[in-house]
Amino acid sequence: MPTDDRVLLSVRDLHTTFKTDDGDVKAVDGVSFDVHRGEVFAIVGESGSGKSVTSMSILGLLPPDTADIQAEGILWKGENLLEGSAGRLREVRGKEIAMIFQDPLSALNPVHTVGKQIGEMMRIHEGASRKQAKARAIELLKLVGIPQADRRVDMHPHEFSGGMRQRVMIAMAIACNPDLLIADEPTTALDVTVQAQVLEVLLSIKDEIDSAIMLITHDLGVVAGLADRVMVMYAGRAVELGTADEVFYETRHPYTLGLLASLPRLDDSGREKLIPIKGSPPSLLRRPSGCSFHPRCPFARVPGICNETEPPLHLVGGMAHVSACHFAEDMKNVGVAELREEETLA
Amino acid sequence: MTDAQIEPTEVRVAGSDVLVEARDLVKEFPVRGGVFGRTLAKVHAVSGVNFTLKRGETLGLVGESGCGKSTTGRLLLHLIAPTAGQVFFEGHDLTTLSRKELRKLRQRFQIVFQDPYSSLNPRMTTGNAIAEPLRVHKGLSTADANARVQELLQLVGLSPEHANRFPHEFSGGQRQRIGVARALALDPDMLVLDEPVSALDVSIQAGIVNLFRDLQERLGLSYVFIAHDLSVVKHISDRVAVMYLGEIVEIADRDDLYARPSHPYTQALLSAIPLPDPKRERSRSRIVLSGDVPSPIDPPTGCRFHTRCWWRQELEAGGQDTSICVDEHPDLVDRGNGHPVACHFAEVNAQVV
Repeated sequence: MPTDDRVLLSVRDLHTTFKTDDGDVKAVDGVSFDVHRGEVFAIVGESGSGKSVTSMSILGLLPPDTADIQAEGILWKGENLLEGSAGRLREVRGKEIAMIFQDPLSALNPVHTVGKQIGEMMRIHEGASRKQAKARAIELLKLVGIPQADRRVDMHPHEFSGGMRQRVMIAMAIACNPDLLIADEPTTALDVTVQAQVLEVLLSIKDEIDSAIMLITHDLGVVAGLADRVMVMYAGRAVELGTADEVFYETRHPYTLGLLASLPRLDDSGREKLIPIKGSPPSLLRRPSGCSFHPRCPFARVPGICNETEPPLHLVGGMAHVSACHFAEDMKNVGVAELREEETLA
Repeated sequence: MTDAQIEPTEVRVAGSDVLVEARDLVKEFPVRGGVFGRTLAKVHAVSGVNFTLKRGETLGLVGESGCGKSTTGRLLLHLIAPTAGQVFFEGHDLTTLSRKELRKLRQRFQIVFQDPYSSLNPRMTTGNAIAEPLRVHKGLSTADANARVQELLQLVGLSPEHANRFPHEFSGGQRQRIGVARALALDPDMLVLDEPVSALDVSIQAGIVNLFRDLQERLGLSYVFIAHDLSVVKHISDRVAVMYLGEIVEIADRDDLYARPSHPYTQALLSAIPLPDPKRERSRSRIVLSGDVPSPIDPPTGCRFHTRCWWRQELEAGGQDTSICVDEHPDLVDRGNGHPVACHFAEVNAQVV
């Protein structure tokens, strides 16, 4: 077990399986990563890649009767949360690790004022009085940039716009100065100009309370603007992990490259042909043999390897840039431009 | 010539290359309440929108939620009647046609919705769903309809055997292809595409965008592409109109709009879009708007954007008098920027991308 004191959260070999009538769905299938103090760690993937289930598993938010969580360890500051009591997990959750959800309207209670909901965190975790809690709630609303905070604190969620509600969620999450904020698609439901506002708040808050952020998103643009390190997930597994620059500029997994090539970019001329990834993501009930990505991979030309052997994550560059592709080294000379060229020739 | 100044006679000329024209389109929805359901207020969803769509052209209609882009799309197809203004399709004023005439003309313009799962009947096979418009409008026999269905499925990149399956058996991208096949069944001239790729994962989205481009080339279709994402719009549109609170604030050819954005709102919108490029993101300066979009029930006076306008704030800080923004509504005209802009102080800012 690592004893690196930069490491805040260490997830080791996490497996989360859902029992369904059709069989076991391996939503997360052997994922390991560390989140360091003060960093923004992004988990990127498309629908069904297991990125949200990963965060829910860490916090123990999945229903225990359908979700089975197995791991070598989920170490929070060295303490294994899987072995802790439910009471201990409740202590950590909300106080030390807080979560921001995608849809604030369904995550906020419609019948209580936002002040009460923000204050509840301090009342439960810090035993604050009602008066103290309200004063702190006003302070927090100011911090996340809500105008007229002393008036707004007595309003209900429906009186706020989408962007303002997401700010309330952030205020609630940072109420107890958590060491780690898990933000699950925090801006996906928002308009782009409001997204810019919320991301700005999130970054300034991070410095203010000196916490780390685990950002879960499908948006590579948001990742590029925020993340220090990135983990790309596909079909319940990590396929590439490295610093943001490594993953974007020295891409070593065909899936990551596929995502980048399919993305329409604002700084393109608009005449480029976008390259979709062929096919669609596999059913987690029947995962393809070998590398899960091989049926869709433009480079899987080696029968007997890609479709038979599951590629392990291995070091491909830098200090800790890893990829789960048998031919990661061959990707040194392939970028989005080359992929587009190849597509045009074919 | 600008869109705002098209002469009325021009579109009525047969054989003109203008397919559709929206003229001074206004749509207000009543807000009812009280015991007797009186109209308490009006939502100003679309307020005086003008544009033309040429044959074979794609017009991108961009804006954030509540800007009136989808309402404009529905007005174009006459799915809802405008409060004021007209829509001309090849010179026919849709607002004056009888129901029978309208129904006949409707074959030529169709819509593709954002969420194909809710727009397809879950209990109808794909084949039947696509054949339905053929039977209703053309009265085709089952055999003829089936042959056409096979053809359409292939056209959108699906295989003929997919005709016997139900919507739930398809992935999101495939379902959107079915929505497109259905819209194409009657050989339309124009498609209104209302956020057709917004619900899809990026790796799938690219395939659908390519499909639209390909179909346009093969069938000579005209598109009105409604979206909130300026980067997708850039990859499909010939011209782009940016909407804010029910009005077009800037309209231009694609290259011109992205190279020379001149309305402060367009600039803010462009600068807010994150690029998948960490180094550029670190060096980019972003225009962050303050506040939220005002309510369309009671839109601001003068320029509707003035309450959030960063450019006005900057000009004011520099000592300039900007009271005109509050008092006077800016017309959508060319102010020396090469294309129409509805801003009293329009100035090109190419630094935002």
